[in-house]
Amino acid sequence: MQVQQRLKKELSNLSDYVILAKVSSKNYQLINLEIIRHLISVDNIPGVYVTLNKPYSTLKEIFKKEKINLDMIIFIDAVTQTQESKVKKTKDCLFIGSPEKLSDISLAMDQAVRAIPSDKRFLFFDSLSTLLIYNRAGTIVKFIHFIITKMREWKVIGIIISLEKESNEELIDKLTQFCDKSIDFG
Amino acid sequence: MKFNNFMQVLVELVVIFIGIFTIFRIVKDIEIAVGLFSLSFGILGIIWTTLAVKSLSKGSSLRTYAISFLFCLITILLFSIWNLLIKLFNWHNIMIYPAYFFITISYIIFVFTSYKIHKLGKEFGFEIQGSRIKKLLKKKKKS
Repeated sequence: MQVQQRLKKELSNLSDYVILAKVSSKNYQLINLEIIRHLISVDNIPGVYVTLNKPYSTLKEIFKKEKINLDMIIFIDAVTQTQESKVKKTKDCLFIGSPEKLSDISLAMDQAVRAIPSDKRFLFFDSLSTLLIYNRAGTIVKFIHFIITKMREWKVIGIIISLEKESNEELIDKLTQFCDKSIDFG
Repeated sequence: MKFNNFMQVLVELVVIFIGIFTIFRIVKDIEIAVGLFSLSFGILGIIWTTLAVKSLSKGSSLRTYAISFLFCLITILLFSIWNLLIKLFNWHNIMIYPAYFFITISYIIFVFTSYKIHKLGKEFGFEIQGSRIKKLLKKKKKS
């Protein structure tokens, strides 16, 4: 509930925004859930969830348990290993095969966002910290800058999750300047 | 910024025009001139596609597609080169066959590349999910 109020307070005067949400590993799941709940159940906004952290099957279970409408979300899963790391599509989710395939992630995000027939849409990127495990910091800065530019072009609400401590501070500083707001959820 | 872009495009167009003019001025034979003209565009296509392949993530679908497309361009270019050589040296009989070979190979690779883009469209298209969300939003609006 605190997260909901915080989101309302911080984002009330912004329409299309890109935020960098810093969360501690302890609160990671709770904050993610609350943000998604706020977007889907409170604001009734459909969107795209890009997961590099938890596999789609796990997320599905969590969201179902929390009664979050999965039909309002297009899932892009870059963490579940597919056969030969190839792209695999099911009716609920697109599996990229590997978090290193940034070109495929970008392409999938572009197509998914454009497929949503609504003026208000969101793009939830979970998470920056996982990207760091698989890619170099320089590549990530370029990639995130590209994503943020795209988010503005698509006119979506962009949320980039970053785990505190696990992310390079210098990187976070660089990325904060690209975002409209950086919220520390702790 | 806009003016700079306009000037850049203008300069590029003038350079291309001078290039075309020079080719047609030096080479009197129209067929050879057209051949050289097409070759220059083919080479430019190969350069751009190679740059795209280099910048795309390894193993990505888009990179695989770009590689297939690169092979198409290379075989088409080989066909154009061979055709040009046929014209330049007045080749006959058996020397004509490699041109047929190159054009056949390019069409085969083109089919393969088209299949790749068809697959890419299937994988990365979200039409079903989009219409599902549309229905849901309509339903929510009504209620």
